[in-house]
Amino acid sequence: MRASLIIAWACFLIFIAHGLRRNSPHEGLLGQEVAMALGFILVVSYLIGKVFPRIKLPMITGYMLTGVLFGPSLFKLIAPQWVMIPGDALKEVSLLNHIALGLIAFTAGGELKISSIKERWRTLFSITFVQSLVTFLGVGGGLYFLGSRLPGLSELPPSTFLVACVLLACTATANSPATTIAVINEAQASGPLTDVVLGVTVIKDMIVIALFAASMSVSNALLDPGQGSGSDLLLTLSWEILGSLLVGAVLGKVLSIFIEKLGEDLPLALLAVAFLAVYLAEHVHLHGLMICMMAGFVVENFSPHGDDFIHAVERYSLPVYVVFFTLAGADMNLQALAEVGGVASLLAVMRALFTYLGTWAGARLAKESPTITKYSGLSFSGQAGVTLGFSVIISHSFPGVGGMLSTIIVAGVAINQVAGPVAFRYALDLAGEVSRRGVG
Amino acid sequence: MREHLTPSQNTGNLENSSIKAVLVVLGLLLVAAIGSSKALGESRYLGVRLLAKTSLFFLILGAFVGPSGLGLIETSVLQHLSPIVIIGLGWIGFLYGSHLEYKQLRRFRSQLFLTAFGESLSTFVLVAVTLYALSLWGLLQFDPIAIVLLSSTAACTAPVTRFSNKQKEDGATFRLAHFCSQLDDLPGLLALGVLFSITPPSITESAALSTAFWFMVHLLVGTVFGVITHYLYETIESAAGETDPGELTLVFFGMLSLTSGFAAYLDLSPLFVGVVSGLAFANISHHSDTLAAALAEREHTVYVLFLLVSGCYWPFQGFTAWLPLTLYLLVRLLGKIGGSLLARNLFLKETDAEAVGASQKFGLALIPQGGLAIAMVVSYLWSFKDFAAPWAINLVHISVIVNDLIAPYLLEGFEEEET
Repeated sequence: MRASLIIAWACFLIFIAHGLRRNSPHEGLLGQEVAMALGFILVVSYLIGKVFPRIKLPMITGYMLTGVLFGPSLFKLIAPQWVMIPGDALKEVSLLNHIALGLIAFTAGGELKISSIKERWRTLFSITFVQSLVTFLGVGGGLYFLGSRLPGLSELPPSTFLVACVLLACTATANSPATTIAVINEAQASGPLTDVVLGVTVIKDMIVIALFAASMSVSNALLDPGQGSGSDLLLTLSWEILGSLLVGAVLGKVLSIFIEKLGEDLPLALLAVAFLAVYLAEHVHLHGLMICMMAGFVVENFSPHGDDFIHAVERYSLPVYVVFFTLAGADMNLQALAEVGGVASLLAVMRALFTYLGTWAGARLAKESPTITKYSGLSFSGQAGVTLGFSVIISHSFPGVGGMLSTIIVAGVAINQVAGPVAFRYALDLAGEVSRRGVG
Repeated sequence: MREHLTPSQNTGNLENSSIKAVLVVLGLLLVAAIGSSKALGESRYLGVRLLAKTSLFFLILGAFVGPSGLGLIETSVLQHLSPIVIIGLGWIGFLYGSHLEYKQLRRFRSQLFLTAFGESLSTFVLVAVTLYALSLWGLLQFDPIAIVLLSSTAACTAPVTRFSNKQKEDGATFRLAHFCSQLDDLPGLLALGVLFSITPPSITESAALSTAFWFMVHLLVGTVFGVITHYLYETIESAAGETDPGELTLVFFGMLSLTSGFAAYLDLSPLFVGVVSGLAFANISHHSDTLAAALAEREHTVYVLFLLVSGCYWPFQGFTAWLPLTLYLLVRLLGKIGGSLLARNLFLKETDAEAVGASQKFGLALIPQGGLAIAMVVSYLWSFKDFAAPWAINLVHISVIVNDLIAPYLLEGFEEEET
């Protein structure tokens, strides 16, 4: 009741502000709007998210719902005056995404302990490879056989249709480390399933980039056989993986040296480093998430300051998750979803099915416990940044069909990003790995 | 309607990538600055160590890279960093206001309050009269707003605890100075609230009535925010009465951003609204100590970012008002020492418990000016384009740095006197 009143009050405040300023110039008020939007996101999204664990749903689903409800995507279409987070302010706040992604990746890397990897290396690699393979082949094959009945895909020439299947299948293998780590953190989950899902997600992040490089090469060769084999692209993406791991390891080493000296400035320094790592990585074709994950991994496993590091990162984790996932909701392309909803839904269903099967088979091969074999397959549905990055590359690389594929991928991400956290949280519940504090 | 300092027409079309590039510069600087600040913190000179300890180093750094300095951060880009200033102002105001808890303050006798306010008002009046005289003699451009603003900042004192060591904290002089340093910012803050109430669009023919109206709006917005923060606190409190510091900071920070943004959006002062809300929260909630403890962990981060961006707004180039600066420093010194002496002798008897053992020169401990003075002047500079006195900003910034640098040496004198 109290929370509803506070949310109503926050909405009222924004209405009043916009109402009073309606007839006066808005120039020079961006800073004020950004401050209000940030405040609105933090308070309202957090309060809405807090309700979700009571209905067995993760908080981040609540944050995303807030973004959808109050951001420009939904109400812009039906009632513009209800948009609480205006597009301009949203664009400014979204600069925080770089920091958020960096901090989330620091946490993911920091949570990966060598001891845990050693203990379960067979499972991690088995699930990673079998799941990737089954998802890629299953989704690709499924689209190939059903494609002739799907609007958009059925009109494509055979070679282009094949490219579409390959690329969509490739993007289907990608996961969202950010979503995974956010659900684990909020549920304060720990246990074998948590370790396996986290490990697989992080390792798969590298595999998927390699797979994407290969898929792009094959697609280029299929569409334009006269063109080079795409080895340049393969080289670039290899650099992306190896370069990112190397830079991340160096960054981790540097952080390890300075952690003790930074004292109370450590969180501030980490905010700046996270932003720089993710932002600068984009400009030298490195993978910001991978750099920060590797840095976190090195600090945690090769320095005595792992706990200080994680503590400093976690100090900002809650606001980071609230802002990051609310913006994800606000950015959700509902128009794309409406346009290609059918194909995207089919893609999402096939992806969920084959991911589950692949995970199940991988776990069986590794002779894992029934808990992991049965439930871990539910944990890999979330999709976000990496996949959206792929969609942009596809859109730019294949001017004809790329735009349509990109729309399907974005719409698929919207579905997976809503369903993913819910399914993962459910799996953690089933495995009994949600801590009592995380129950909400 | 007041005009805003930063020209939005330039920023409106600014590419997102340019902003990011600037942020990268800022990020790099931040990393470098943190390292340098650590190095300065180990300097053999007490003053230099203090520059790092009080974080004023970041203010100087901001000025160095801002439009007046190297120009790495241009004026057109500053608007994109302005949320940091808005939120920082609200944060500083709230923290100050939250110390003014009636339950705590009523333990002190009225004579002590009179001493603190007497000292503060003496400094305020002395600085105001001097600046007025300078403008009458043509040595300074007459600007009543600048005079009030400078006098308000002159009355401010940094918390004495920041400059002392444990040995002195037991002394009577320290206790008296500490009490005064906590309260003597209030008259200046009230003056700032009035300044911000003069400028919004007039609602009636009577300027006085309009000012009173907007002043009441400040009080109302601040109070409502304080009350809502209290309810928010109770909302996130578990059945066992526990709160997670991370959650507490999140909702507080959110509410603060919302309210500071709202205040700035309506041309109100985020700083003054923050003070009122802190005061309201401290006096209606039983949780002010818990909140203060949770905020303390993040205080440094917010303050450093605030100083860094505020430094960018420092128009130090072409500053020539050295005479007013020297006079401002001297008159403030005189006001603090003379005012405190006068107020102590007027309102406290030698037999009063608070006066026994306290040095007659306790005003020397009130020389450090502190972040609130910077916040006041930044608040004004940020909001008003028609503030035709950039020299005033220079005066305050330089004065704060000088005063904070000499403060430890002055306090050392007490240590010797009391031991």
